[in-house]
Amino acid sequence: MGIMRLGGVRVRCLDLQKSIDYYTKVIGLEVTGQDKDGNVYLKGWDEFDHHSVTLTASDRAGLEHLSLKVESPDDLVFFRDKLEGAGVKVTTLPAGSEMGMGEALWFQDPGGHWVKLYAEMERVGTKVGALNPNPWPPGLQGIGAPRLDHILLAAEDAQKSTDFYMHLLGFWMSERLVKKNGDLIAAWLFRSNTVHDIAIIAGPQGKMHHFSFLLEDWNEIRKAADVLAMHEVKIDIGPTRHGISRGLTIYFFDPSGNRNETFAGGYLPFPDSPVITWTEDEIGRGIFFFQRELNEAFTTVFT
Amino acid sequence: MSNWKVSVQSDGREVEVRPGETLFAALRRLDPGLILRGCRNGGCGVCKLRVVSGQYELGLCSASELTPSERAAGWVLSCKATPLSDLVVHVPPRPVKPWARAGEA
Repeated sequence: MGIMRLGGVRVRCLDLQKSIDYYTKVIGLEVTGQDKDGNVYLKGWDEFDHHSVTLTASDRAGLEHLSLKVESPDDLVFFRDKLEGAGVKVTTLPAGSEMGMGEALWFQDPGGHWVKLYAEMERVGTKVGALNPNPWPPGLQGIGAPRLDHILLAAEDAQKSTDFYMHLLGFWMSERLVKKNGDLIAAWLFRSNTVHDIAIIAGPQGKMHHFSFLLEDWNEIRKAADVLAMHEVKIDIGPTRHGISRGLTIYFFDPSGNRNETFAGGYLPFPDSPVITWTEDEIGRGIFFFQRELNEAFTTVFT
Repeated sequence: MSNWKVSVQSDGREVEVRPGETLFAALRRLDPGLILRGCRNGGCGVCKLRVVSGQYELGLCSASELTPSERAAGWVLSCKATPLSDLVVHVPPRPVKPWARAGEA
């Protein structure tokens, strides 16, 4: 029952072709289709569903919507009732609102982000297959990211957004960052067994901080940094480590200025794990463990 | 080809623009504290400033960060602006987020 994972993000691009080149040659995703409106669908080599990243041409940067995959069509009925019961306006989209996607629920979270819930998507299989597979496929491009990992959303009222994802959509909290007075600055939430599928940070309403691709380990993060440098990608910070999540990370920007991350490591949280609390006076160590101070961009740069 | 100069209107400080360099890059060389380093790809808008005089070329900028009326008034995302003459720029005060600094209630 319930949400399984962050299934996808639809990202706005100022120059669609430049973004296609970047997400294929630098991130290493593969294009799986383009719809009649020109949206381009991509996936990582270890993802079996049709797509996880959709690029859409726009006059602005930012997130168009995020998609969360639920276990079964019954979950869509359950969540429709639950959301409407809480006064959330929910629209049911017929199958095909995205290539390969079944029926979906469409609504806005309190942070102003549009969210899709869906149960079915065409399966195209991973690059290594499901029978006696190799650990990774030959011919990967650039970083060769296997999959989408998580997204960090900004919301003016981080507490309200966090409550929405926890109480209505069933997310659990792995970690949180709080002010001296106890007010929530940021929360790390999960439905899968990763340290976060969605995180929320106090910031400009409707804006995105970053979305992240999973890598295997520190070696892969180092290789990713080489690839980014070779392609003259604008790096924000890293490679470094987060205190929060223990993740190994690089932050950098796509050609439209949307922040991307490569993320490795972390730990396994469970629904009954104690919530880890970080206090504001330790924010530097929490966000960038080695530097022990925030860079200015972390709290100011959103798309 | 000649190197153009950028001067900051408020204090008159000047920096020479290297060939092919953006306005953002030149100003960061002059003073890294003058302007925030954001996405540098025209998306986030933190490097926005106003060109008071001079010619420049402006690449793709996010319309949510730079509106048509702002453009018409000389505002640019400096990471996407390439000087084509000497420029005088007005750099607005940097944004302050209420919760950004550690230790403040």
